[in-house]
Amino acid sequence: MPLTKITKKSIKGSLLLQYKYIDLSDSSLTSNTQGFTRHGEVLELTPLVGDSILEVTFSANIRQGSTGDDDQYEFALYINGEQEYLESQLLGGQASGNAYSVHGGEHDRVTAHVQYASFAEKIQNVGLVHCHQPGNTNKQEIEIRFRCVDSNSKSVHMSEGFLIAKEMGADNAGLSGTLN
Amino acid sequence: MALTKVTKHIVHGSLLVQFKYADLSDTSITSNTQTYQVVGSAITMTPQYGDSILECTFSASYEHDQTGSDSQYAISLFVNGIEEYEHTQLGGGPTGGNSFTQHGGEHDRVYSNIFHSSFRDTKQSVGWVHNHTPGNTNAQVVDVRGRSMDNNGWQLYVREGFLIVKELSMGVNSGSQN
Repeated sequence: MPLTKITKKSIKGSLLLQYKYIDLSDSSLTSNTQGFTRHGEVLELTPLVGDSILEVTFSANIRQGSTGDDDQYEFALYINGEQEYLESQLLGGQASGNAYSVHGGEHDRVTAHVQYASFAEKIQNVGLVHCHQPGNTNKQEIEIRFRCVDSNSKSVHMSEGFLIAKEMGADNAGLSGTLN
Repeated sequence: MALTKVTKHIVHGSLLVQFKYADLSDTSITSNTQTYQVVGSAITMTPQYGDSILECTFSASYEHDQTGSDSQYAISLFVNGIEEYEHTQLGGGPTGGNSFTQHGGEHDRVYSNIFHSSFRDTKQSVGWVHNHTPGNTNAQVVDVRGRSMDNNGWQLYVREGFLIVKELSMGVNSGSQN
C-alpha cells in the first residue's frame, strides 16, 4: 500500500465545557404583580474554569388574555439574583389610561374617534441572547423573571420557555469574550 | 501501583476561536427613513482561519409610539455592508391604507364599526440566529440595521440590543446546509 502523506494542521481555540438547558414550566402572574417573579425553574451551572464565558439564550411566549388598558410587561435575565438583561414594555409600552372612559379622544393603543375600545388576547414571541463572565468558579443560578409594569395591570402568562446556558473555556489560544 | 487500562476515544470536532459581543446602545430611527440605519455599534472580527464559520446571534426590542397607519419595519444583519439576513414587516405588514378616511368599514388592523382609528405604542421582542462563512481572513464588520418600510413610516426605536459574534473553526466538520 502506498504511503499517504499526513498534513498537519494546527487550530487553536477553546472548548465547549458545559451545556445545560431547561424546558421551563409555564407560568402565570396574577394581575397587579409588579415584583419580578421567576418563570419556571432555575438553571444552575458551576463554571469549571474561572475565566469562562457563559452564553445564555432563551425563547418563550408572553400572553395577556384579559381586556384592559394597562398591559405592559417586562422579562429579564437574572444571574445569582442580579439583573443582567431586561426587555421592557412588551405588548405595547405605556398605555394612555383612557380605556372605557369616554367617546372619542385617545384610547389605549387606538387613537382618535374610537368608541370604547381596548385589546385582548395578545401574544408575542420573546427571547434573548446574552453573555456573562462570572470570573470565578462559584455556582451560577440563572433564571428568567417577569413582571407587570403597571399597578393595575392584567394577568399575564409565559409559556413554552426554553433556557440554554453554555460554558465556553476562554483560556486557550488567548480567547476572551470582548466587548467590541 | 496497579496499571490502568487506557481506553482510546477519539472525538472529532471544532473549536471556538473568537467570541465578541456588543451591548448595543438604544437607537431611534426618524420617521420616513427607508434606508437602513445602524443600530448601536458594529462588531469587527477578523477570522483567524479562512474556513471558519461566524455565528451571529442578536436580540432586542423594537417600538413605535406614534399614531398612524404605516407602521411596518425591517431589521437586518449586515456584514461588511452587505445584507445577510432580514426580518421584514415587523409591526404588522402592509396596512389597509384606510385610516382616518371614513366611518365604518375596514381600518388599519381594526375591523368593523371603528371610527377613524390607528394604532400606537406597539412594541415587540425581536432577534435571530444566523451564520456567515467569509472564506477569508479579512476583517468582518458585523452590524444590525433598521428602517421603515413605508415612505411615510413613523419613528422607530430599537432598544436593549445585544449582538454576539463567534468564530468557530471548521476543523474536521464543515458547516453545511442541513
